[in-house]
Amino acid sequence: MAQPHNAQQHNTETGVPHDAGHKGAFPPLDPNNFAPQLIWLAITFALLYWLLSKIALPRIGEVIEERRDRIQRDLDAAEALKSETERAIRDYEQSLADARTKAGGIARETREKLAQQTDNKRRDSEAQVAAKIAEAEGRIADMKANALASVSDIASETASAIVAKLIGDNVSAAEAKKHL
Amino acid sequence: MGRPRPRKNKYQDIAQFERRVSELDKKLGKVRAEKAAEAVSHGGSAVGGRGMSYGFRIGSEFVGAILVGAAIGYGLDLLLGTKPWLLLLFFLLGFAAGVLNVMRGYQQLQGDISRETGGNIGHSVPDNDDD
Amino acid sequence: MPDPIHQFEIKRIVPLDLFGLDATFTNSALFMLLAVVLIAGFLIFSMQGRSLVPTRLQSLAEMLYEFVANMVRDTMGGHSHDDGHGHSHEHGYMKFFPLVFTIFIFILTLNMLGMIPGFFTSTSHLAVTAGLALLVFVTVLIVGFAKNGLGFLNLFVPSGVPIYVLPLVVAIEIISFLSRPISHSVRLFANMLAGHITLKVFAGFIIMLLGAGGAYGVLSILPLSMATALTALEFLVAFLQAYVFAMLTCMYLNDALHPGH
Repeated sequence: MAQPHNAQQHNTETGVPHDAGHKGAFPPLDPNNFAPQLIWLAITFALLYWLLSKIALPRIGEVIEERRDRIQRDLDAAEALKSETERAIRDYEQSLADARTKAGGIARETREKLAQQTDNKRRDSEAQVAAKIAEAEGRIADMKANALASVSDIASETASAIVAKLIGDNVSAAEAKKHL
Repeated sequence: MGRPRPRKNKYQDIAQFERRVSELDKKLGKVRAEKAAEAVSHGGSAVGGRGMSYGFRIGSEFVGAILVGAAIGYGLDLLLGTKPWLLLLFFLLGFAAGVLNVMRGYQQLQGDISRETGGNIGHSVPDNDDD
Repeated sequence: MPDPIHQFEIKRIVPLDLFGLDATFTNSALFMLLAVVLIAGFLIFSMQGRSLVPTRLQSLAEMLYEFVANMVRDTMGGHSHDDGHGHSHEHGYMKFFPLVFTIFIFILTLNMLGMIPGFFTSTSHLAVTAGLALLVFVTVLIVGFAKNGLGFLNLFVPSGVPIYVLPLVVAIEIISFLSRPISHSVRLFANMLAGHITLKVFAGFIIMLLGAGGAYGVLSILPLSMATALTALEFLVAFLQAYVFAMLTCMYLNDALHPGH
């Protein structure tokens, strides 16, 4: 590579026109091409750097940043809403459970009260019935006693009548009763 | 009482609602996991070409150091008139610098690999030398 | 057979003279200018909507942005993790993002433009790649000394080296440092040059075999398939070289910001 390089330098030094001089030279390493390329590299690169660093890149960065923030915000909002919803559900279920236990309590109370009332009533009526039965029994006993008493009266009268008939004497009922 | 019917409806509502909430929960979890995965894996964005790019680097850095060493030696020889000696010395120094460059590149490659595989070199290292 | 070197010929379009310097507007300058117009036009036009839900063009522009931003963050952001106050550092090194982005997109566009048949590849000329490498080198020097003063010279003095080998080590470190712009520029230049020469040679084979006619025309399948594979490889190389150039720029700038190894 060194030889054509040197030959090429030689050619340009002797002022041979470029197009002729490049025959056999190696353009990428030709020092004659350095200055114009470096100068235009500097111009174009500086221009590009300015355009990108001042306009294009901040714009892209902004949009990306904005999107990232937006997504983060939305995620956070969703998260917050979700936990709020969960809390609301929990509260609702709590109050539902409270109401349920309260309702159960009331029902039990009512049931007990009703049972007690029925009990009382039953007891009352039972007592009444018992009193009535006792009264009736008393009455029956009286009637029995009366009946028995009348039976002995009848018997003594009957006996005196029989005696009078038999002996022709009038035996008083009282005497008859004595002999009986 | 007219209570039971609306209450039953409400239970259905709650069940549906809870299903929706848990779906949202799942979605949120997925989005978060994706974000985390993205944050972890962005290092591997150059993936397949990494081995090749190290190959490109190491060769040229070795040759570059030798060239620079030789050039310095040659220049100093011209300046001090010590014709071949400094060229020889700096050629050797350039060689050493080339080896140093290669070693540094290799260290970096290893660092990169261990960072990507979580420290266990030799496991699941992407195989790039299939050319 | 066409001359594979011909495609690198500089054509002088408008002869110009700038303070005694040859500032001729050449085909190389034309393609650099074209690249600037294309890049700026694309990046500014695609973001016209600035929409939160991007169009296809806009998402491509954003992808490029994120790609380079991640590269800068990965290569230069390592130190902020150790310090614990990452944010101030993030702004520190993100200052160089526009420079790295401009270098990356400029080289990528020039490389890709060169892949179009008949187009000129500015990056296959040493002057262009060396200019870019020197720009990086000088930026690193300026940033290094501005940030660290003479502490920047610590870059050449590794810690824990015995005093009697220190001069040797420092010499090696300096050579290593000076070799950066050389390898930086030659790598890009040589890869683009070699790739284009190879492609041209294979294209030449195809034309030669087709021209010979008959059975030779059938044989042209061979170089054709090779040329196809090589073209795909060249596209990859065109991208990777832009990537490597930009990534090394990040690394060198990182050294300028944190000279201690």
